Amino acid sequence: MSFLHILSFGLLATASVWFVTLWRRHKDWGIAFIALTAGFIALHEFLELLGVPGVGSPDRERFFSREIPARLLAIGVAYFLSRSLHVREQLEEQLRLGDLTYKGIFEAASDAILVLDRKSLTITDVNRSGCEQYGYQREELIGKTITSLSDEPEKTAESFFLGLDRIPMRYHKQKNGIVFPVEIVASNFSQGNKEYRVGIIRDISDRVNVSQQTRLREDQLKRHNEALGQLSRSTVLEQKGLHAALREITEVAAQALDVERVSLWLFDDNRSRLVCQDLYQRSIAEHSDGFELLEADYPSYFAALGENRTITANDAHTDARTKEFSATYLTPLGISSMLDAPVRLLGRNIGVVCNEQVGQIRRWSPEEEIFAASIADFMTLAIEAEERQKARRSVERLAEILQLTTDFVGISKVDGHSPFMNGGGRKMLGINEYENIADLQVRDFLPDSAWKIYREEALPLVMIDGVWAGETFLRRRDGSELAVSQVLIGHRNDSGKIEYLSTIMRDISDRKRGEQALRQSEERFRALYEDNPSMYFIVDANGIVLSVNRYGAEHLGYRVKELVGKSVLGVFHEDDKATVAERFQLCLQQPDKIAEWEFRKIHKKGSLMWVKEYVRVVESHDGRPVALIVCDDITEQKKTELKIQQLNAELEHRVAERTAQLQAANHELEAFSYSVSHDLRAPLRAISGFSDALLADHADRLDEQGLHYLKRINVASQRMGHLIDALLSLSRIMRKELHFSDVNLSDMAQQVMAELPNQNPKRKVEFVVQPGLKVSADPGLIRIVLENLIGNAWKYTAKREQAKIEFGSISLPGDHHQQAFLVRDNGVGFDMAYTGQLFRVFQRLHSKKEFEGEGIGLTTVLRIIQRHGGKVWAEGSVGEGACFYFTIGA
Amino acid sequence: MNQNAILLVEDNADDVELAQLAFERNRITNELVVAWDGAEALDYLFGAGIHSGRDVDRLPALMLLDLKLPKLNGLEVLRRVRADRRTELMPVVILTTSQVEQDVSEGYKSGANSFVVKPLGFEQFSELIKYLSKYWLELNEPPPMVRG
Repeated sequence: MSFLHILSFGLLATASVWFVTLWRRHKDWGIAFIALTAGFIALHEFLELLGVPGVGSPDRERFFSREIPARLLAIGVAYFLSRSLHVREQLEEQLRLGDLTYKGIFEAASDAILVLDRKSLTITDVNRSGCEQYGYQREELIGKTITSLSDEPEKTAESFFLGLDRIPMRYHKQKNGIVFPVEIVASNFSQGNKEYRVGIIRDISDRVNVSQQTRLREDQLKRHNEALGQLSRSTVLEQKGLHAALREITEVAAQALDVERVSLWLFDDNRSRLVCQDLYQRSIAEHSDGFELLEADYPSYFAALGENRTITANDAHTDARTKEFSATYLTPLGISSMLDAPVRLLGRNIGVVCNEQVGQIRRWSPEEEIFAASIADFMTLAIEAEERQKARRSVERLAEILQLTTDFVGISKVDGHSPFMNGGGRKMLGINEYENIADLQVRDFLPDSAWKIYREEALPLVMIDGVWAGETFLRRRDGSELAVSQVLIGHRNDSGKIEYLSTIMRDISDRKRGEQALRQSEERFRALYEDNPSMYFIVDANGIVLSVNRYGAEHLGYRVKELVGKSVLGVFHEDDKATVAERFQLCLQQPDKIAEWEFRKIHKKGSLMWVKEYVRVVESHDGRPVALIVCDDITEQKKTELKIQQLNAELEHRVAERTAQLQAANHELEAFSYSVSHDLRAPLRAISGFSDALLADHADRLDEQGLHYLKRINVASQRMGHLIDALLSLSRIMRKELHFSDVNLSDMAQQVMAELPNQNPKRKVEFVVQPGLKVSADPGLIRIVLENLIGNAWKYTAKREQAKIEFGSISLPGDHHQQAFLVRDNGVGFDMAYTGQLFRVFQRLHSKKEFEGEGIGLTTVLRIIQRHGGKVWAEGSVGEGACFYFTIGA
Repeated sequence: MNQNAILLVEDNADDVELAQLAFERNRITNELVVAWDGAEALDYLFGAGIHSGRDVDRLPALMLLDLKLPKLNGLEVLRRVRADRRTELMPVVILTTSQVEQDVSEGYKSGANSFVVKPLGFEQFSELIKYLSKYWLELNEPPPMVRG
């Protein structure tokens, strides 16, 4: 039972303490009573446990025995009460703490929290973040509707009314009008009979920005990737070459990086200069190149390039590596940011790709930096590929040359085995292209003599010097031999021993034949030179004979060696030496010009020789001037010339004499004419005059016969007067000076014809004139010609019923198609047998009875035409008219 | 009608006689003085030689001058006549057989008043003399010194 006592005591004591605690907290008298009761019972139990007298009664046992269930019940009640009290206290505590938390969270929340009246959507409470977020004071916000804060009131109202818990994105606006994106979480609650809606409204500007940036960056990366993809698939390099490829890369880079200028610059050989290979300017879509940057001008930039890292200059004007460009380069071009990536080839920095932003400063992202590096790599690849292609082409070309060359190119081993030979070699040897020549030996294509040269001379020399060159022979398949020039080269292995030989051989049979021909030709020329009957001298600038041909020496009476080495002046005539020396100096001053002169030389035996020399100064093979002299003996010619000169002089003298005689004769003739006109006429006039006087004064004393004779005397003297007049006129014509001018013969003939009908208007004459005939002649004399010829035609057509007189021209047969003029008539004509007499003075073919005339007209015509250097002739036949032709000038 | 003498300078006797005949035929009453050469013609005009003492103020009404003359030829005579103040205006007709252009132009240049070619026939010559006398002695107004 003691255990039970102990348990009971423990429980009651604990409960008592509990209740005291509760009481102290709640000041609840009920609890105090319970605590007192429990304490009393616990004290009682404790005293009983100790056996304190007086406390226990004899019936205490009983009491306890009776009271045990009650006690247990009391304990249970006490416990229950205490527990319930505890729970309640905990709840209260919790409530108190919860309220504080809510308030704290509400105020401390970084998001805006708005408490709204659910029906009116007016704001009933708002936290500090809410005020800040919207830019209002709390008092200003309370009472406003949520829709008034929204930039999209309908949407906001709708979503709030619909009671959505989560509203993904709306745009709200601040008091100052700035709109910003928000995300809203909302829930409902009620207090008493009021219903509320609370909204947590978060400003998601940052998130939205971030996602935009992310998207931009993604776009950029995509662009970069696409650009790199495009470049990696490009075939421009193969198809259009390096320059086009570089242009493509700069263009693509400018698009992908969204920059204005992209350029590739390569270092020159000593790395002190960058030369622009291509610059692409996006805004004008143009390429240019050739600009240069000198290290001396931009040392920092060159140093930065030397570090072989990408130069990321967001603000190029201030960046230490690029600010030296500021004044000269950046400012004029408006460049603000630079992103320059080095171009490497075989680990060496060979240049730089410059990406230049024009306008606003730009912060280059790491992605852009990587992209720039990739672009630089592409440049490298393009340059490398080009180099490779060049190398390949050069190898291909070499291979092609090797195959196409007509030269023999082959490889042989020192042991004489010849494992390779090109097509030219096969052709040279007459081996067809399909034959397997893997086992061919050098010995197989060398004749014995060549084999000897190869073994005893060529090979030993190659083993020592590494090379041999010479002329030798090949034996072709058909057994014939071929002259070749050969170069043999030894190739050493790593240990320096010659194992392989390469050989190049060229067919020189043509050259050999050419050489032979040349030799023959030289011999021929030598013979020509030595024995040609001309003297050839070659003389140096001092006049010393370097060479003279055999004929040249012998013709002067010397032997060749007597002249060579001596001054060329030695063979000249003493009086000519000074002049020759002078002229020779002039020749030296005018190289390549041919001078010619005539001088006298003296034969060794002393006889004089006239020579004509042609001299030309040229540069000899050693660069010194030499004179080439061709010298011909013209002594005979000179003699002839002299004779001709004498003859000419004589002739001139004779001509002068004759001219004087002629002039004297002319004078005599003139005097004769003069005296004819006076002296012949004077007696004639006396005869005529006195017979007239006789007739007039003494006719009555003469019989008829006497009168007749007197008349005959008169007529005869008259006729003689006419003859004298005609002769005088002819002599006048002969002496008259000629004055040439252009004469229209057609017009003149017409004028002459027009006067004729006056003589006998009754005659029927048809005149025909070919128009436009012109000639240069003395107008007065040529008119006399026409007057005579046309006058004759008129006269000798007198008996024609229908006369016809023509003036015209014909073209004479022969080389010059000379023009001849003609006067044709249909008159009585003449017998061609007497044509020779026509033009003789006083000759007539018709009797005076038939036709009047003195027989002097045609003579006059002949003289005039002769004085004009022309000819005159006639055609005709009796009864069928005549035609007179004349020409003017030779 | 000028009655002064006519001076005929002519060396050919036939011509002189035919001229006299022609004067007679044409009834020309003026004295016909004949000078047989150029020198004599000048002597007559200037009163020298055989004509010394002649009244040189009485100039011939007309001089008929042949060109081809002994001693002084006709042109020279003419030049001297024109060179002398006393005779410079005297009418001179060259009467010659020459038709040489040079003679004609020289004649005029030397101061001839007229140039006439002797015709062959006597009839024509007579006609010519008639016309000449008619013109020079009747129609032509002579210079003062020549007036009778």
